[in-house]
Amino acid sequence: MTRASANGSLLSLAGIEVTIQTASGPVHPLQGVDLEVYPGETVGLVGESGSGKTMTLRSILRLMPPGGAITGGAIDWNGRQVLEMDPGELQAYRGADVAMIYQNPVSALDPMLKVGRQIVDAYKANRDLSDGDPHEFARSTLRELEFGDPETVLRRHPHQLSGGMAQRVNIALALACGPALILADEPTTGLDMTTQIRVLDLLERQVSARNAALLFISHDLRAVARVSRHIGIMYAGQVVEFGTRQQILEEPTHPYSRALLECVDLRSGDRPRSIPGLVPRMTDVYDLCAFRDRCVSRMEVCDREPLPLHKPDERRRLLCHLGPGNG
Amino acid sequence: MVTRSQTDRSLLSRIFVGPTAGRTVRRSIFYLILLIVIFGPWIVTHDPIRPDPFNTLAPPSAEHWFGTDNIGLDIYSRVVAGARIDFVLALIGVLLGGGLGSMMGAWAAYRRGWADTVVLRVVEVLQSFPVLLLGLALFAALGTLDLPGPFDTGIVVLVIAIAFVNFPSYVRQVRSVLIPLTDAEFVQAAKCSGLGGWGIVWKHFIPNARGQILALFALTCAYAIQIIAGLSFIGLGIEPPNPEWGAMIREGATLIVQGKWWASLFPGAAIALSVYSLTGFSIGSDVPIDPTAVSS
Repeated sequence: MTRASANGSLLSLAGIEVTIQTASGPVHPLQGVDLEVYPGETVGLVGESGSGKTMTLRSILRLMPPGGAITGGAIDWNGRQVLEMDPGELQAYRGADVAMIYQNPVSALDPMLKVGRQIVDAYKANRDLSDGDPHEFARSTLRELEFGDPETVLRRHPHQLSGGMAQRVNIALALACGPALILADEPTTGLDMTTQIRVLDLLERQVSARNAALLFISHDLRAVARVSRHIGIMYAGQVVEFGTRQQILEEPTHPYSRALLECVDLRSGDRPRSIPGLVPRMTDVYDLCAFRDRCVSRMEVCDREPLPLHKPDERRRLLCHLGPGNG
Repeated sequence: MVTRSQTDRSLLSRIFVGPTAGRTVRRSIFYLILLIVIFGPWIVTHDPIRPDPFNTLAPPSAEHWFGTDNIGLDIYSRVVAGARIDFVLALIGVLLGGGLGSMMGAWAAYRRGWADTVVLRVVEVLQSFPVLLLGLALFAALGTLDLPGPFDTGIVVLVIAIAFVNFPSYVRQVRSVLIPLTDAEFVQAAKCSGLGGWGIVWKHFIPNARGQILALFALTCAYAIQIIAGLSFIGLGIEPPNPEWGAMIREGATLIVQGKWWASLFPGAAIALSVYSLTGFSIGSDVPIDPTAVSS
């Protein structure tokens, strides 16, 4: 990390907009995403399905689905503009700078290749020869990821692994690239509860042991709260609230954040609740607050004026007509 | 979570035993022919290109197992020696056309868009030519080339013709198998790990089509042997007196009406058996190497 952006952040997204052309017209999954990740920290993003979490990660790597394009905003990586990189720079940036872990651990691995070969390939594609033997890296990393017999696992094909094993292999694959930031796209959603916690803890431990940053997305607020120091809440293609774990969990301001927390608050003894209303359609572009139809604190101003951005402290962000003091 | 797969079978049984008894027989015949190709020079009884003018058109006997032809060449020795020529030329031509075709097909599947369209149109043009016409055209265009050193013009053009004719089927087959991979998560993951286009084509696309490539390889080798024999039969490719099955059939063809059947029959049977045995590898050859195929 020789260069750094003005404010010292590793990654900074400013007003990212994504448009996907589909047969039934354009879809706008991201409508101005602002996000910052600092070196070595863990940031979690929470939101319902369709809120743009995965698309945010994909835009960071400039991996758009067919018909999709980043139509606005800027992505700053260590002082470099990601959206202006040529194909060669982009290839070097992917993996060596930013690596990704996918939601479905088995389909993220090539079914025809042995696990060892895939880890070694990722290592070789991103590192110098002086970084050490790729096979030794694969063995030691799998051991750190609590595989009792790494040698056997390296000779397996992906279909011979359980979901938890496959996801730990994916973590090893991402670590093999030696990135400064790892993106994790709901890495534990497909796993059972006890495996989830184990994989999460391993991921967090390995990432912090390497001084890498982690951007973790999930619809599960509890999973995000377990590993993240900072949490962002996404709604309708925007980060509507951002703050430290404590700020988000204990004094959420945005009505959507509060509703989300109430949904998972099992201490209250009530049955888990849901938020009334529907997730907005992303075929529309929202000039006004997209949450106001479901909002309990809806005001007259919400139907009239675009959302103001409040910055009560250095990292905290709030996109709501309710000011930060009204939490 | 560990499933036993076909890959756990011993190497020997995977090589010899086909998915059906018939295929096992075909494969056995193929390995027999392979032995003949390898050990040909040691199992001939006579020099395949030295005629015995005092013993022409002799019927099969203890001395000449398959008889002799009209200038007294031993047909058994020529059939054995011809196996080497036909198989080696078929192999080189198919490796050339199949290798290029597989890479093109994988590349088209990876790139999609205009690159895909251009590749497909070129392949369609190639496929619209009848095989023998394409061979004739190639000989007409390249037949007068003076090639240096050990390269025989007829043989080189023959190899190019085989490559040309088989190239399209590899492009199409490999492309269609790999199209679903374009948006596969592991391909995205490979991009995320910093692999470039050719890296992904080579490290992920080709391995995912290797079952189909191998099946096609057996089929196109059989096809190539027919092409070599067919072109030699009409007088292109391998020049007599070099032992080549198609040329031998042609020389013997006029003799059949005289009741001298052996000069054509044995090389003809050799072609038929080769093609028949090779097809024993076509279907089901992807099973032993597909790690996800679970044995029953």
